[in-house]
Amino acid sequence: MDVPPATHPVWSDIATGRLKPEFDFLAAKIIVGTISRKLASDQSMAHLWTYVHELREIFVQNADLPKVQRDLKKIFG
Amino acid sequence: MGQIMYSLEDVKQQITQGRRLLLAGDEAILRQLPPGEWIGGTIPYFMTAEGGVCARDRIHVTELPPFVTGVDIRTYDEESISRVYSDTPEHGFSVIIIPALSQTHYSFALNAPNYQGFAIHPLIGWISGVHLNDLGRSTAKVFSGSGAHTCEEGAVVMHVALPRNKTAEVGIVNIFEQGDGDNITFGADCFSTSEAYINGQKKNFGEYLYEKRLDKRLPLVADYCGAMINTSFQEGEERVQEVSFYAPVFSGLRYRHAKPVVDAAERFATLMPKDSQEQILFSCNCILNYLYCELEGKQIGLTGPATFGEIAYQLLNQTMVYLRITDLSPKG
Repeated sequence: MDVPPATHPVWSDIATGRLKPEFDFLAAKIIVGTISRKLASDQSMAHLWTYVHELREIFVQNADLPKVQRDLKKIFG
Repeated sequence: MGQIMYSLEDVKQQITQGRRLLLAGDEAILRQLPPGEWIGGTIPYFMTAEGGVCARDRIHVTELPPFVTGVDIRTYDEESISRVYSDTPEHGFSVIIIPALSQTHYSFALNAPNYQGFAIHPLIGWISGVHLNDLGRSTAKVFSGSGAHTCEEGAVVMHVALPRNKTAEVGIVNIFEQGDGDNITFGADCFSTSEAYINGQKKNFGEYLYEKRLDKRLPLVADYCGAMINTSFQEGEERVQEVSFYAPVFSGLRYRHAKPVVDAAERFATLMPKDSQEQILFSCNCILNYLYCELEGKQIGLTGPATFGEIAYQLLNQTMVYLRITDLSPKG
């Protein structure tokens, strides 16, 4: 499936921890854990937008992996 | 895609035949290798098909498969290491080796999650070390076969390009999980600290560990959205004020002391990836697992060097890391 744009609200929900999917892809787990840690010290919108782009980019660059496809389906249906 | 132990003469021959190799071995033996398309790091401990061994007279070899379309060997220092992710090929992976206790080790460990392109492409690797009898007398090193360059203050990286029908993926096997004890947080990102917040209350961390009689062979474990990430203690059972770690603790993460593991070898075997050995190109495990889990002579499945730190995108402790290469299904 195509990777939805960064403006899709699910990305920011994941970045802020409002949505907590059980990812299979290790890089997704690590980047979400890292974003959560960074947001604990600075919750500014500018930073959140940067993190949303970083998170999405991991899915875009690894979209061929079956695990990533499964994770995308899990979060976007 | 086997990983195997070879003699010096065998490895020399492989290098002169133009094979692309990832090497691990004792410094004295790595120094005798000719230039070629290889990188290496010092360590004399290995997990082999026969079990854990300490060997100074053999080299652990991972040969890149022939379908690899290109390799680019680079060295980085504590500043330029920030480019390691953005230098990775668009379709491929990178293998990194960093000497223990070097400035590059500390810089990468603390700052990697802030580097451009963090975790976008697969980065796997390890921290080189020394024989435990040589601690304090010898230093960990890395080697770049392009020019047979030796270094104890920088990282060596092999950037590997893959054909479009192959893909690389990094995985970890962590036998530890968070225990049921206190929540532990830290006020700063650091390799050592005297203070921690225990369930939100500031305490001297060394005194806390001593009073609680916490087993420091078990790591602190943080939950990264389901991935359990360890930080190991450097000190033994002694009472200390300042507590040191083999990887940094980060502010903003909630740690817990790990649950004890009854049979580590069995736990590793249970958690090992179920892929065929052909799909796993490279793996390494932690020297602390080798020591504390008494893996000498025990088989656990995957083979590779027993290292002073493991890298799966970022620095890890007490963890096995592996790189899997798989075929991509043709797009219909």
